[in-house]
Amino acid sequence: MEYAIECFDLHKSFGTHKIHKGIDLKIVKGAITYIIGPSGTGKSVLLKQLCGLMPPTKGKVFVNGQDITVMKPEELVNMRKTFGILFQNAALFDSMNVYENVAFPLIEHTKLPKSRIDAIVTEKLRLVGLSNIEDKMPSELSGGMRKRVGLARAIALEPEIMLYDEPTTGLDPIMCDVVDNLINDTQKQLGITSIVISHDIESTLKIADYIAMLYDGKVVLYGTAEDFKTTDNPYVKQFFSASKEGPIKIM
Amino acid sequence: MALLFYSTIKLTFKKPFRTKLLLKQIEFIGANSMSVIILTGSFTGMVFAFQSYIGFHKFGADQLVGTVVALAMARELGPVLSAIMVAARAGSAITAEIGTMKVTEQVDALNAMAVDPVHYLFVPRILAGLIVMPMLNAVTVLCGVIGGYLVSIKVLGINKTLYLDYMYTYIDFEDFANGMIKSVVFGGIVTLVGCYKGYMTRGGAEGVGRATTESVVMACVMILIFDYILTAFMF
Amino acid sequence: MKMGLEAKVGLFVVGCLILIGAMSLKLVDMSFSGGNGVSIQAVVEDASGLTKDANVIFSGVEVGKVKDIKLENGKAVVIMLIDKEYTLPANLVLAVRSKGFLGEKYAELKVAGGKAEGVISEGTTIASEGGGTDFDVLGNKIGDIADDIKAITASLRKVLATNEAESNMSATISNIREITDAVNSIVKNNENHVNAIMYNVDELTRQLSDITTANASNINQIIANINSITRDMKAETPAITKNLTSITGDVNDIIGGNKEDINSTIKNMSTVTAKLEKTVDNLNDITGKISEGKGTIGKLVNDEQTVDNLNGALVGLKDTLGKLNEFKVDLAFFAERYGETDESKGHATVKITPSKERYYLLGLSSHPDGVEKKTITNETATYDYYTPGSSEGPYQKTVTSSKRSPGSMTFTAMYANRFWDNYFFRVGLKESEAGVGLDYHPLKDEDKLVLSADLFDFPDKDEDKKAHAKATAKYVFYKNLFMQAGYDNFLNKDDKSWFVGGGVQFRDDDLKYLLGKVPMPN
Repeated sequence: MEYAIECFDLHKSFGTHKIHKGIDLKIVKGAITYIIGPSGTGKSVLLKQLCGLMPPTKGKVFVNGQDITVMKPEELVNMRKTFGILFQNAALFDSMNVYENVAFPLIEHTKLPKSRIDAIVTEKLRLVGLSNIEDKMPSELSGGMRKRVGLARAIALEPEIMLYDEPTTGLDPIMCDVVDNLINDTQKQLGITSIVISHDIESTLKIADYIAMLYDGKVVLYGTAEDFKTTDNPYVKQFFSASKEGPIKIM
Repeated sequence: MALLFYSTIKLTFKKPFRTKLLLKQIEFIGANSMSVIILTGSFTGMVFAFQSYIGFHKFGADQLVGTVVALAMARELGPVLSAIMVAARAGSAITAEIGTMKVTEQVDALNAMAVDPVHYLFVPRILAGLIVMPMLNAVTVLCGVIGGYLVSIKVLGINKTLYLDYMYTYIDFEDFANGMIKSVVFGGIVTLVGCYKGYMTRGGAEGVGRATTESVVMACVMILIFDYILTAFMF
Repeated sequence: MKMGLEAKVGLFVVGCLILIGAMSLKLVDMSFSGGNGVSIQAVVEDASGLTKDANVIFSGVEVGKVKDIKLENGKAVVIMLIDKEYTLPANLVLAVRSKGFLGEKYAELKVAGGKAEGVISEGTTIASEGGGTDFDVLGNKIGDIADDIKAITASLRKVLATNEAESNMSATISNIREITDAVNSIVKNNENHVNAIMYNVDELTRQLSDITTANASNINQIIANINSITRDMKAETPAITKNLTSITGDVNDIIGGNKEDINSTIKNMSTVTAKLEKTVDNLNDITGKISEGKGTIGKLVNDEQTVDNLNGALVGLKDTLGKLNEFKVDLAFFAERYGETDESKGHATVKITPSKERYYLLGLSSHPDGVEKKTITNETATYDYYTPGSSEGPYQKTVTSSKRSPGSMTFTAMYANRFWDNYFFRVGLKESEAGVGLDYHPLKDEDKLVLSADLFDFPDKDEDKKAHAKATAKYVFYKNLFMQAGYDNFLNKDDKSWFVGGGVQFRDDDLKYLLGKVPMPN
């Protein structure tokens, strides 16, 4: 099996607070991998380490076989072009309208003519189910629309790996479903590797090819959706059943 | 922060050169600060004329008011006051803007899109600060001198010719240039501190507020410290 | 009005640039106007107070500027640039005058002998009038008066040499007697004034000595002034005495000579004599007061208390100055580049030296963000890696390992004590780690070259490294600029590196002054 990202013995601590205590994880190329776990287990932090936004305190991260923890800043910047990231709150640039937001990576990294960029922006927005909102400012958009614009921006450069940071959090169930389908469709249509952070169990089991569950700075279980449905791992069982009883301590 | 400044300088010469952003920042830091700068400059000049008149009148050296106002404006008050006003107006806004971008992950988004936030956010602002500050200083000095002139001639009734004569006799290009050099440095300080504090922001909306306050305070303190150092160096 | 971004910025920038340009031009014009014109020079006794760019005035009109003041053959030479729009006569005399309440000096050009002749040309050297100081001017004036008196008496003698004058001489003499009486009374009256003046002078002296104690830094200047006064007095006294003798001789001649009708002349003479007498009286008075210990000089010469005050002031001054002189604050900013690890460091230090025996060193050092230690070695590492639920076992991968030193700020605080001649021992925090150091100042000029060795960042028990050792040579090659080089961290094989660097250091006198006021433990 080919892996897009591999990380070994990943440690991360902020001051004395240890977030990751040795994470080993491999992300299968071309598949959707969900990273789940209770709040505060450092899922977002893990995501940032995987794409080189944050250096690990200890351990190795390989992206397409290349060790990103020893890369120079310039190399890191280049490497990041292989990533598209959808942030938790979409992280649209407040000072730009929708068009400028989506066109931003294109203007920054390509020398395409204006007409070509226009076409790509319209195409990507159509892909996420939006049209005729190019001139709107991010503040005028609903949460779901912002996420979709964020997604359009993230896929504008057609990255190899898409990272989604809690794409469905804060959305109504219908919108959740729309976003889930978007993730699925994006992956199917573009054939890209996707990593999704979520605590939405339902959509996880529905879409994920592989799931990794994080708890207490470690991966407690890694496997397919089928593995997770049948496992008797107490952590997973407690998390899936949303029960207060079990090994997961409520913080 | 010095490192940040170093990398900003290094990145200044790195392509692409973002003209549009630079223009935007010049507009924001410079053109939009004009009214407050004009007000500050004029009133400082006027007050200074009044105050120095009280002292000089005792010696019967009224006509020296012009010299003192112009000298003080050119060497000291112009650069410092314009820098402090810009710190309060634009420096805080820079911190708030970058701080908000930081806490809403927009800075991460820039990084994620392989755009160096230092290059994208800092360089235009700091460049704009370096370019704009001496211009604002010139406006401040001019307004101060005009304000002082008006008060001295119209209100205090000092001999106009003597006033101007003394002013020109004792002000050298060097005095003005001194102030200009200072204001270039101050422009760098204000924008750099603004960017730095914004970039270091943590902890949501409250953090942005805190960073903004810190930015203004730090910029003002650094302006005064550097004012001392520059003055000590240049005399 | 809605303006486009470019238009607005353009307007702003262009407007400001025009403003800056106009202001600069205006000022440049003012300070460099008259770049061409006639250059003339004059040798003066004393150019003190006169500065470059001081005004050159002729008949109250500003005609140029002082271009330069040089010292040639032990004499001050003032070079003046006369604007070409002015045409001045050739027979000029230069005088250094002061104007304004601040007493700034200017160069005044006058026509010698009162009659303008010719036109001055480039490079002419003109005469100068006396020295520059007010006392000199005063001295010159007295000399002039004495000359006048001499001239008058000479002409008198000529007139008296005729027979016609003889008949009226007795009447004249009685007139003289009357006049002398009047003069006496005048002098008496004046004496009150003189006394009042002297009292004022007394008062002034007292205040002066108070001021002297408080304001020690001016003492030198005052003493210099006093010196100058005494020198002038001394120089002028023989001249006056000579004149007096000559006058007496003339009067003798008058009495012994022919008697003529010279009433009107005698009247003039009476006035002169009266003035002369007054002058002598005043002189006597002054001398008397001096020996009585009144007046500035007298007080300084005779009054014990003044001497005591002065001594006290001097002792205080010496103490203060001594402390300030010994107390040094040096600021230094420098950077280092490490050749092998490809790292840079920036430092800012404050060195506080309360005495020759010790100093305190405070500093901040920074390690640039994201610069890594380039110790990449290819090695095969086996990661015992097992992801729960995964079917794969332990995993092997070739990795490139390197150390990354994150950007950070470190702090230095050290205490140094001289232990032997020119060796200093330092102890404290070096770059945020406990450390010791040794400085050796081999040269006579101690700060010129410093050889240092440092040992810090001692390893913990479980750390696999040796202490950080650093050898540095620092050399001040020009005024405030220095460079340094050395070998860093040579006990650790992977991190060792040569380094070079340089920076500026300056002794901050103002800061020193401020700190000098703060009591320091001795």
